[in-house]
Amino acid sequence: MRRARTLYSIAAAALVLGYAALMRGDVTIAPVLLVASYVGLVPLALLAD
Amino acid sequence: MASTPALDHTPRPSYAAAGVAGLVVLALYVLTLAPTTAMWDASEYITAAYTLGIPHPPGNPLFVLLGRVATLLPLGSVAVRVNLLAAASSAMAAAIWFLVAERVLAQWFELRWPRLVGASLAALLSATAFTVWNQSVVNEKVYTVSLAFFAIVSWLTVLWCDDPDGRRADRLLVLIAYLIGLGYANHPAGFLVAPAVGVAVLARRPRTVLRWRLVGAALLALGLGLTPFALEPIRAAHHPALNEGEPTGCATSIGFSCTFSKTTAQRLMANINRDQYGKTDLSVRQAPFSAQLGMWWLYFKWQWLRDVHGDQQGMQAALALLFFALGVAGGVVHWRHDRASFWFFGPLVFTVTLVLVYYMNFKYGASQDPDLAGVEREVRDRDYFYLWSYSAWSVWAALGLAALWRTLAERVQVGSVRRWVMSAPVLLLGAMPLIGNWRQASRAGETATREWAHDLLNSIEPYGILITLGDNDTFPLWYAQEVEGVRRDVTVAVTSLLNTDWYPRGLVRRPIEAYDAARGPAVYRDRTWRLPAQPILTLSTAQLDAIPQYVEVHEPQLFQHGGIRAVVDPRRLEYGVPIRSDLIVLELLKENLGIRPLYISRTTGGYVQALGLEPYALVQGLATKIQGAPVTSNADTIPIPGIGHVDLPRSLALWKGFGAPKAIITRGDWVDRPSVSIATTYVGTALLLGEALERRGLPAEAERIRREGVDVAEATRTLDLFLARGAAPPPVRGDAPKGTPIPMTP
Repeated sequence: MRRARTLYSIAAAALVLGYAALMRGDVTIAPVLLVASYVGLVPLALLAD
Repeated sequence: MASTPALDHTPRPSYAAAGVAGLVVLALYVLTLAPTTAMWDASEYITAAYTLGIPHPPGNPLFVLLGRVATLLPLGSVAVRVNLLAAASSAMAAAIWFLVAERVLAQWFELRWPRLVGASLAALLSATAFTVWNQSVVNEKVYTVSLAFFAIVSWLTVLWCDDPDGRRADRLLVLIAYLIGLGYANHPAGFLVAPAVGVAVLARRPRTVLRWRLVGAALLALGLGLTPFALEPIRAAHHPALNEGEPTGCATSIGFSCTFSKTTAQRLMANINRDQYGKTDLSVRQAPFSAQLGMWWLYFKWQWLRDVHGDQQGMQAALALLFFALGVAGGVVHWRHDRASFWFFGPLVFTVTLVLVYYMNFKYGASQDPDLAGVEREVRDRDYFYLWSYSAWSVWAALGLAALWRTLAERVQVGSVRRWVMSAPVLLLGAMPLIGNWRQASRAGETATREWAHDLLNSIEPYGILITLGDNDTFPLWYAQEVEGVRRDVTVAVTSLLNTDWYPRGLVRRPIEAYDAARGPAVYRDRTWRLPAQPILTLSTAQLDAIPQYVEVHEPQLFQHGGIRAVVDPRRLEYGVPIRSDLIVLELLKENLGIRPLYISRTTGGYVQALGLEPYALVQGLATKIQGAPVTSNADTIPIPGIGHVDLPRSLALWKGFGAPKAIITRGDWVDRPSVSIATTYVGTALLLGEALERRGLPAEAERIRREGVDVAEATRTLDLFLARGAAPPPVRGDAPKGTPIPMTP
């Protein structure tokens, strides 16, 4: 449960930072953060105990 | 067929072996990978990924994000990086199909190694089916990423079916829901996997759907998976080079109030719902359902032997029947030996085949029943829409082939291992698509599209405006300009999108860069080209938006400006009346006369003539420049009836620098027949220059350049077309929307 919470927190942070960077016009860090969260961190969090 | 009782165990999946299978498939794709862009949507998606832009509706935000990250990797050119994304996605799918097939075989193959061989067959067949292979070596669409999602969801569902009451079962279902949402953010087809998941859940544990907390969690996860759509209004407000549908209410720069506005919401929903393409009524069939099934069958035949020119029709039909029968047999053994996973896989095959054929409701296929006249056809072959169908069918075909192998092995009266080995030659059937499709599916060394984009852009004088018609004379130019930085001084205006509201706004907004003489062709180095001070149109946004969709006039109209007096005959226009795009083209001509040269691409067929501009038409390379006064004939400008005049020195100089003819001849074929009009544009241009040289009294030169055109025609097998038609190339057909509403000819 603790592992899941940690992963959810990191995933949420990556999404928030990613969209914030995107709104500022960034096209490098923003997509990296968003992809890392959507295809990596969120699935891991959903599966974590 | 053998009917051994099901084994009472499911061995641990061979993840390592599946990984190896995936890597082998990836190696095959890398070996046959396109080194650059290709026809149709490849250029659009590469450009969208590179610029983090918005491709055509629904905008595919997840793909854009994945593609953008791919472009950041230090692996070859930008195009290669995006193409590798397609290759990696399909290779991942092949690895997962390996696991699915192994799992089914595990229920009735006692020995492990024959199971691995059977699973490898699934990976091989699914990877080398023509459409899967051809779409995996260039990122023409987002469907290979969808395929990877289908495969991942498939495997997760199979795992859930194995243990629906297990410790992780609920988490798996929530993850599946999330991935379906995320898959939708790549392409709406992502939802196609959902009915199969539903059937599997109902078949294995029907009470699951009554567990409201779980259902709520799954719906929340699905919603989270859809959130990449937030990318669209955010990026659109930054007005990237590619901003289709312009899903933002922000006119100049991003802001809170314009982003969270009604206009943004309306435009975003219009993009997601694909309003631009109009609504289809499934009860009104665009072709008989039998013909639509016939289209699926036509492309099914392509999968096992792509016979582009009909040279091996007998063999192609035989292989199609064989692989159809093997697929049916595979489905039967799947049902008999692994009911748990069948409840997912069977409905999946049904959904991506019969349901999809019904839902897509296509007209007759571009290559279907070519002798059938008087029917409406799709502008291109739509085999890519059935990529998932053929990929999944390959798994069943592999199971069918494995079953055949086992049946033969059981009839050989030798030792338990030797009988498998002695029967193994039958497995060579699985290599047929690999061998038969290699030449047609491979895109290794294919550079014609990139060269075409350079050639067409270089036919335009600095700061010129180029009017194009559709996908293939436009998207490659977007790629060349935005990704490779070629001729960014040229404004490309495609008529099919001029009918929308957002595209003209974007054109006016687009910055014009200074012409780089050092990178441009030598023919423009004889003078200095000044960057025009005024935009291509001085109309305000409101004035642009107010240009009507069409004008209800049917009689010839006089267009008069400067030295031009052109009689526009609506009867010669495509819709019988001037539509929005025609009005904007004439406005562009009017506002830029003497400021910027306006060109009409030679791919537009008779558009110059339809606008009554033939007396002002001067062909330069692959485009026709519209002069501000009637062109006068002299030694350098040769009159050609039905065309206008040919600028002989300029066109010959450009022709010498063209790269596509050599690329086409080197390839030696043009597999995608609906886009062959790009190749024939070169043939038509060579014949036109030959005629001009003949009239100029230079027969030897004329013969030489005609020969070069004929070489292109022979390489693309289009010579017959020209023997019948003459020098005029057929117009390029496009897939882009025309906008709504457009009146038909009264």
